[in-house]
Amino acid sequence: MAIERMKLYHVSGAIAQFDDALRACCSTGCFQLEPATSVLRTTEGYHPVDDVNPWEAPLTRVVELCNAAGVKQKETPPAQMPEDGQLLSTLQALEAEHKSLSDELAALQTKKSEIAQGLVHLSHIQNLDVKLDDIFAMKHIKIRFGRLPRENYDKLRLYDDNPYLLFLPSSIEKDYVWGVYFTPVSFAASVDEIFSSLYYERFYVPDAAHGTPREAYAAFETAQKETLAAIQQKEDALGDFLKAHDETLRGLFCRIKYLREFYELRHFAAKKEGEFHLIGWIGVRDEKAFLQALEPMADVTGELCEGGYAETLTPPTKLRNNFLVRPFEMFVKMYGTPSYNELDPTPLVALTYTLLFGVMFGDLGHGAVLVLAGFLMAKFLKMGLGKILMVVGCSSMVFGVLFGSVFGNEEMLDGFYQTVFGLPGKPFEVTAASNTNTILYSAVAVGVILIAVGIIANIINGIKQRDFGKAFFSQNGLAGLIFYLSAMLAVVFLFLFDKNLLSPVYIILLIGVPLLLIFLREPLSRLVARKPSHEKQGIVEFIVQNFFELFEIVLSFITNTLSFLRVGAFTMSHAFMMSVVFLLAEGANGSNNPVVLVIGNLFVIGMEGLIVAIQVLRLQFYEVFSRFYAGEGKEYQPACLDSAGLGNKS
Amino acid sequence: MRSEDACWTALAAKIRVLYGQRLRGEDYHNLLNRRSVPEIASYLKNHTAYAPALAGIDEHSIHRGQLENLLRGQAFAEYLRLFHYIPDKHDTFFRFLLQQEEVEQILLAVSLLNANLPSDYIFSLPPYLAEYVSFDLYKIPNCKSFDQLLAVLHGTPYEELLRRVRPGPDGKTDLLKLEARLWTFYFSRIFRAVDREFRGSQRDSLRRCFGIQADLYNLRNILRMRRNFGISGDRLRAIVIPYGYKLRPATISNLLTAPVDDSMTLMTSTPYASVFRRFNFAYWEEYGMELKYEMFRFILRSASSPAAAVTAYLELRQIELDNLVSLIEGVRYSLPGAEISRLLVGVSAPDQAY
Repeated sequence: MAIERMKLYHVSGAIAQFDDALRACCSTGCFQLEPATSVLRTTEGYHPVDDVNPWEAPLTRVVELCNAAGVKQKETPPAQMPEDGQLLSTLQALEAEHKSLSDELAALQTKKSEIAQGLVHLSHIQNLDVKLDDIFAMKHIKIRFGRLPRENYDKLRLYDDNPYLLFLPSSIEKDYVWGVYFTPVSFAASVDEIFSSLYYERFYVPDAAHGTPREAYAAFETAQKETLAAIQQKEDALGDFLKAHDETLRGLFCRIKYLREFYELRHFAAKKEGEFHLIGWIGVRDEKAFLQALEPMADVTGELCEGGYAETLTPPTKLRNNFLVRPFEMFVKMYGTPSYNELDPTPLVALTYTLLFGVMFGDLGHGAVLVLAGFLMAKFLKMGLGKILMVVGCSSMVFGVLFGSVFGNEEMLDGFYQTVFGLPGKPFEVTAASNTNTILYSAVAVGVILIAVGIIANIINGIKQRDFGKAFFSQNGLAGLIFYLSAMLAVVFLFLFDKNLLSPVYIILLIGVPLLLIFLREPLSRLVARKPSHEKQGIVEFIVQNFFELFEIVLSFITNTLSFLRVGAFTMSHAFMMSVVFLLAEGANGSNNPVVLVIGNLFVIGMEGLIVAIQVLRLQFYEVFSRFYAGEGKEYQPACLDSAGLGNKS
Repeated sequence: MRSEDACWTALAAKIRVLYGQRLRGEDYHNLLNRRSVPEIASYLKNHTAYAPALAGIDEHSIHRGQLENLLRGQAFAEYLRLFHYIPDKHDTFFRFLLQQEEVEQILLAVSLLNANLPSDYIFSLPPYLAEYVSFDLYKIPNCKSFDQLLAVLHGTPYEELLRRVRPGPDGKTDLLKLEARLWTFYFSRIFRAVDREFRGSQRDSLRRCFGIQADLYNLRNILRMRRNFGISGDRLRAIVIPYGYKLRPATISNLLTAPVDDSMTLMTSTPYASVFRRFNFAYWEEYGMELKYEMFRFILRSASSPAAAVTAYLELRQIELDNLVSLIEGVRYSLPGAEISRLLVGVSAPDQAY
């Protein structure tokens, strides 16, 4: 369980074999490409390969077509896929067919809207028993269909003596009055102005309306039915199109996407005098498979790079953990990817997170629920969190047995202890008042151990990175470790054994000297690294600044240690919350209401589980990681095309 | 029968609910960003308390005038509903809004008569008022002469008032004089109603409300007539109404006679100086509106007198309507947003409540 060692390889060959070589590198799924031109200079004749991706536009088109046709763009290819040479022609043909159907449907929808609007207008003039064609054929009289606000309809009586204006209402509603007004052609302008001032809204009778309004309405209704039927037909045709070409479209999407992504990888390469050059990282375990993949190509070579520009590049971090630890990589990556030259904290996180969660959520039944939930999440939802839940759930079950708690019931396991272990009762009573101090002291002790482990990890990192100042003189180095453990030891002996270890020698050697080293960490680090100081800082300024920093360092040791009290607090609160559930469930006759028990348990599992998960993560990040973990690494992301897109062309 | 206290309590709660539905700074900001009347109609319909009035409209084809009518109609309907809560003995006083409308309609009718366009009144006729005013609005468009208008006003106090301001030899009525007489009549009715129906702090608050409005009326008229029309002397004195609050006769006399080169200097010599120093309006008449707005907002919020609070709410509602009309017309005639916002009263920034 560690960070895998990486090797830098330079793959080169004839430009004619570029695609095959690139495909071979990607097929291994272990080759992380570096931009070749970042190390192979143009001054040395190397040039980037920046051809325009010819598959970009077809991919956009196929995505649009899939969206329009309602085809899901799954990346699982169908059994049959079009040949590469026929991709574009197939796409074009499908686009044309879909467009034709869509355009026809759109035209029908427009017609449907027009008919609907016509029906609305005609519905308001159905009372008029005149033929529309006769009305519109009149040469000397203008006709205006429309509506006006109800309050302005009352104003029309003021024009009763105007002989050139005749309004016939056909439909009176709450806010509007529909109708038609007639006016001689020569007076149309002035009458139109009157009605316009009364906010008359004209509507135009559709050209297709013939006969009386009632007859026209009936005809429109028929047309509406026909149009709806035609729309239904067209929609069915589109549906058939979808069914008939669903596989083809999916195939097109997969293959074109693959080709586009494959083409994009070319931008990592450089070219020079008819040759291509690729630079990339592979893990030591994959080296053999990688070289075997290149073997079939005669003109392609893979050369290990050591020294020179290899030292200017930062290797990616490839974590190598077993199946139990691997799920916890998710937590570590939340903070940051481990640097190549630092310890992988994942195993530590896996162990400590599991233990702390188990302690804080110790209940056999609750743990079992978490295991089940985790299993379902991992199996059906494919969530990485599911695997974590299964692990911490098991830990909760173990501590549940230790604390004797099963869904909050503290007596259920008594028989088990007596039979199997010969114990009179549970090994540890969380709710006993006499055990409160033990729980809290133990929590602090766990914290001291974890902080010490974090400091040790930092020392190891410092040595690996050859940063000896960080390893020995910093608050998270050897000096800090000695100071911290000595101080903790003195406190433990004083309060638990009533023995004072703080003799002058103890204070000077184990407290004073480490603090002094921490105080002088910067100049000492520079001395060890043989780096001159470029900062012009006065002695007084140095002393004042570092004094306050030292004060802050000591304070942070105290607060970080005491922060672990929450472990004890949550251990107890879990038990006490369940006792409250039982209290609420207890009826007048002494029996427990099962509904309240179930709801209470679910509530505690959900709420307490979430809080504990977050609190443990917080402890990991703030109290432990801050001691040693930088998380500034580069994530390992090998070029791995969706091999499914290769179809039968691997 | 409801007790008066119960009525006031219910009324106070009601107007606070209604006031809570007012347009906020953010609403004005959003409206100012609309570039057409249909867009404004759509915003008012979908985001403000004017939705009921605009429920049946087609916002894409609504006319500016129709929109304004609908908004005013809703405000008027709201005013009528308040009478359900108003103690019966104060019905007469609270008709002041209706009386304001009557005065406005008469002035409009006379001005159209002067312009020989009496039938154009049809287009401005507010249908929602027709049922409630003391004369038949629908007869006004048919009045082709002053006497016919008098006949329409027969039986109302306005008939006698108009008789004293008959048209001159040119056939035109002196609108300034008529306006002064009508508003004098209006204020006299109001103050009589206040003195008759109210006592103590209620009366004082109401006298202050309407007294300041009378002051602002006089200030606006004096400055406008002097500055824009060069009117002075007795003619000017005739348009001053004899009611007020802070403006004493000596101050008014000074305003009537002082040099008119700088209207701002004149304004700052009045008791309302602080208002004119604080704002920077495009049109100085808006200072008066801003003062009204601030005064009524203070009265409504301080709730010292229920009747004054109701009065304040109704006046603030009118201000909001005027703002909306300014906004609608500004957008209709493509004024820049910054120009329109300067016309709005009581609206400062998008994030400030109105």
